[in-house]
Amino acid sequence: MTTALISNIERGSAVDGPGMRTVVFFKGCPLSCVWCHNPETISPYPELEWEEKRCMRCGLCFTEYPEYFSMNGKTLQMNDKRTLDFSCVEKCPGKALSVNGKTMTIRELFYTIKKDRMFYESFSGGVTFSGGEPLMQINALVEIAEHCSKEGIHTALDTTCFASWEILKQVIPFIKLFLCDLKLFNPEKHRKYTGVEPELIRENIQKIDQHGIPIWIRTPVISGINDDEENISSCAAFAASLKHLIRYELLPYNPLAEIKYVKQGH
Amino acid sequence: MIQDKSTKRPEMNQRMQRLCQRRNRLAIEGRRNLYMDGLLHGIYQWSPGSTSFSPETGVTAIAAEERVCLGDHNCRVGVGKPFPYADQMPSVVGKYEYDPVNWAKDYEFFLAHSPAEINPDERIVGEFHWQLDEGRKLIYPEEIDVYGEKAMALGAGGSCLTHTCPDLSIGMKLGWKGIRAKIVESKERFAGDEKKCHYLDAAIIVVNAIIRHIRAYGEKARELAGQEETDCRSHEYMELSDICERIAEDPPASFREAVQWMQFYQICERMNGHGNGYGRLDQILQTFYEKDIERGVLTPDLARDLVEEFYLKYGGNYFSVSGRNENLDDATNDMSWVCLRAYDMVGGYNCMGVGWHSDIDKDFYRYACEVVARHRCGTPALLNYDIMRKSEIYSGVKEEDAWNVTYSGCQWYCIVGKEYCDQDKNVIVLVQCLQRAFDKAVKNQPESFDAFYDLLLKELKISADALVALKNMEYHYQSKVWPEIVVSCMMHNCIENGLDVTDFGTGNYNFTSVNLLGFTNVVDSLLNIKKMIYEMEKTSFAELSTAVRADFIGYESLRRELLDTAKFGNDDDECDALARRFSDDIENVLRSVKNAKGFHLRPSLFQFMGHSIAGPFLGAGIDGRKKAEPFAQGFNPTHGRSLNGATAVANSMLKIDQQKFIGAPWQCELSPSFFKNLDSEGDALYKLTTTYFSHGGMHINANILAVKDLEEAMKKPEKHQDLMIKVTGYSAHFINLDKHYQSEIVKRTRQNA
Ligand code: SF4
Ligand code: SF4
Repeated sequence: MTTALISNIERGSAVDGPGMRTVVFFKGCPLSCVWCHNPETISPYPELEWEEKRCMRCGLCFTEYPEYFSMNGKTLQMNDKRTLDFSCVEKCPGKALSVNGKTMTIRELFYTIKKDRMFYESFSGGVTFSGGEPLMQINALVEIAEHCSKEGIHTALDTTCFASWEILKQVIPFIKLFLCDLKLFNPEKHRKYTGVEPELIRENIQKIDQHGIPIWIRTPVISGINDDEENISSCAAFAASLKHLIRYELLPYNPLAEIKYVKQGH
Repeated sequence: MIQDKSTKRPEMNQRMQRLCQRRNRLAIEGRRNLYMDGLLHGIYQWSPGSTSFSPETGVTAIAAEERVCLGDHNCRVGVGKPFPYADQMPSVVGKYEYDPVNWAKDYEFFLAHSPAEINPDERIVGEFHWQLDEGRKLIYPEEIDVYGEKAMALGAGGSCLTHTCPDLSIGMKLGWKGIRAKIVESKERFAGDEKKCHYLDAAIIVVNAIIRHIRAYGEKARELAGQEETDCRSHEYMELSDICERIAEDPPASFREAVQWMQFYQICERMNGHGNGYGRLDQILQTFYEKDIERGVLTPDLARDLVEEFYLKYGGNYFSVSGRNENLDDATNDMSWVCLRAYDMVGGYNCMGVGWHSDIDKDFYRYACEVVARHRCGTPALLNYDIMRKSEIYSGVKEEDAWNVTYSGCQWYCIVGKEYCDQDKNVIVLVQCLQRAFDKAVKNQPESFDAFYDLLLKELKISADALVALKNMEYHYQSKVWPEIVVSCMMHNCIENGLDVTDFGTGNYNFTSVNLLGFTNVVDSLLNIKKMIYEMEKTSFAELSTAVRADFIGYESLRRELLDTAKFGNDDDECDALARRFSDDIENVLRSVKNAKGFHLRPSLFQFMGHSIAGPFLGAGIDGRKKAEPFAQGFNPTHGRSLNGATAVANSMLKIDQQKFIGAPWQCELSPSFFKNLDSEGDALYKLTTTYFSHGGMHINANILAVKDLEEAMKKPEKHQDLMIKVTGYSAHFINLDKHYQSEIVKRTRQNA
């Protein structure tokens, strides 16, 4: 049975795509943007999270699992968030430790997506697959997207487009709208700040365009990194060259990420 | 055919601006504030010696510092001093008796000594500075206290001052002269029936007093006309004087007279101190509107202006627009538009409701949503007329009456002129039922969750019985202690039967409506008991009991576990199924209990204010709630426990069969960011609410609030004097509220930020 590793599901969202949507955050991303607003979605494995507010500083975790935890002042240091057996989560008396990354069957996932169907209908919304990078779990993505689109639920894919076309093209028949990030135009800077080359991304976007699927291009605006006029106008010009562009958005950087980093014990 | 669907907001003229300023000033100065006698009253709607909201002055008034302020939700305009003739009231100079004529003589004196004041710029006049209970004692015989205290100990309470909806069209057809003739005719019919004749004698005293009071306004206007230098204003006063003179006895003949008639009725009736609604404003006024438009003496703008003035005088009153007519067709008419437009012009606190239904004029409903979005304080309240009507039928109201249902107060509705159910005045504190069941379980260890659940239902029945015992005593005395003669004149079957609306045997609907306090908290607690004690065996009744009593001090880890179980409002199937089961069972239990008038109890998923304040009185909860934290409001999720957003809340609520309840408001706090990317706030509200209603939702109060504004208003009230919010079922200025309520509102808003 196909399963997906899901970081989070956000319902009633009016941000990622048109209308009222459910956003499914897949875990795992091939990029490592320095400003990443969803750091918990980068690793493709379940990870431990620590919520500072809930922590009672009881010491159980770092006493029983000294190899993984230590307390630095009031902040818990997690030496390895991923390879643990997670038994500490059950034991944590403050419920401050949790696992990010839930394995869900396609049926489970669809059941959750379907719950807000009446709102998708009235708000012309639907489901958005986001992450991380959903393409990293292509089998699960294709299955759930196919299921949703057969059931008449509008599907959007929020993607880095950093995947081979062989992979990307599998999901194309089941996606009604692409939300593609165009972060940095300059290849060198792209490499520097995201860890990967931009060419594949741009090629893929053009191929999606050739398939006639509506596209939103979005540029997260990060002060001092990509907010220069040259970058924005190049991104905008690229976006404008697409035949099926519906919208070009500049997204303000989400300062919430800082809190998320703390939550992850960075 | 609706003539004018315009949604434009013309610039307000200077006269209206001045009137708005006065309205705002009265509110901000606290002259519209409503108080209650201490926090306990807010939980039980009854406390020893206190059966209604606090009188501000008079012999039964308590010290100002003991009162709790509910914000500017009063019809009375305070002047900061007691009724100057209190010591000359007939019942003070003579004898105080539980008797309608004794009451009526007080009312007559009180009205005669209430000044007829006309303020600059006003075309619609009439306000009052004191309520009758500031002159006449409102106290019940002591034996009621015995029942009241017993009920309170069992988590129940209630009082009887009317919370109903008189049918103003009765008086607007007959005029006060006609009402008097009806009373006289009734008296002739009941010659020989001493009790009825005595009551009808009291009614004649009351009607004559009202006629004189209206005339006093006429005289005052004439006097002012004489003092006016400009012809124009002098002419206005003369016109007003003529209107008062005419409608003192005759029925209103024009639109303006109709509006003025209603205003006089409301002040003469509200002076008794209660919380009625006034019906379907658009239906009441439409014929007057049509006639005057046809005669060429009225324009839609003038009509709107007059309704605006009416709102400015009386913003705290409840009435509704739209809904369906007798044939169940859409009842939206020109006046629905005028009434909504008038609110859109003047904004502020106002408690109107719009009755959505599946065939409603979509433009109109869309406009209503735009108005909510523009004014941001939950006005108009958005209601599902179809469910309200079904709910009345479900309770036992006949189909031929049910169509005339109207939103009349916070969450409740009733059949215009035919229902006296003291809506909103009675409470069962579900949390106390749970606590008793839990205490028993500590001793007896029920063998299964179902066995525990049965214990809970038994305790609910005990509370319901205690409530009905108190109510029966109150019903027995009500028409003697505080007859509602002014209301009775506008009810069907009262004057004709020589009976007060509060009396036995009128033939009207007399269910006892009961607000439930702590519904969500009990559901959340039940799931904890089911999972943590029975399924996972993580804790025991004994341990949980100790932890709750200790307010979880020393049991924080257990509390976290309790908090981690699914909570109502997150679209969790198991939790919601339990909520559904419990809500159905509550209704079953209450339906099995009948009052002395032969009508059963019916529940409402709402409680006026108790949720904000009951925590410290009732202690911590099995749902993980600490003692100091508020309870959930009605069947809304508990503060901070709704984690899946507004659509999940809606889904959970829709799993409850809402027609079984006399009110089930979704208190929907939307942060402005919710609307980002959606077409417009009004459009988003339209879609959200129509979806909710189409799937069985009953009522939405939508505040659009940013937490930071509220927090800042708590710190610097002087900078946020205009901040209006929907408190629970009513709107008020945020800064006027007691701190308890302010903090609770901040909490519930923060959860959606
Ligand atoms: S692509 Fe998105 S999820 Fe991946 S690292 Fe960059 S910002 Fe984070
Ligand atoms: S994370 Fe949990 S176990 Fe560790 S110190 Fe905090 S509360 Fe204790």
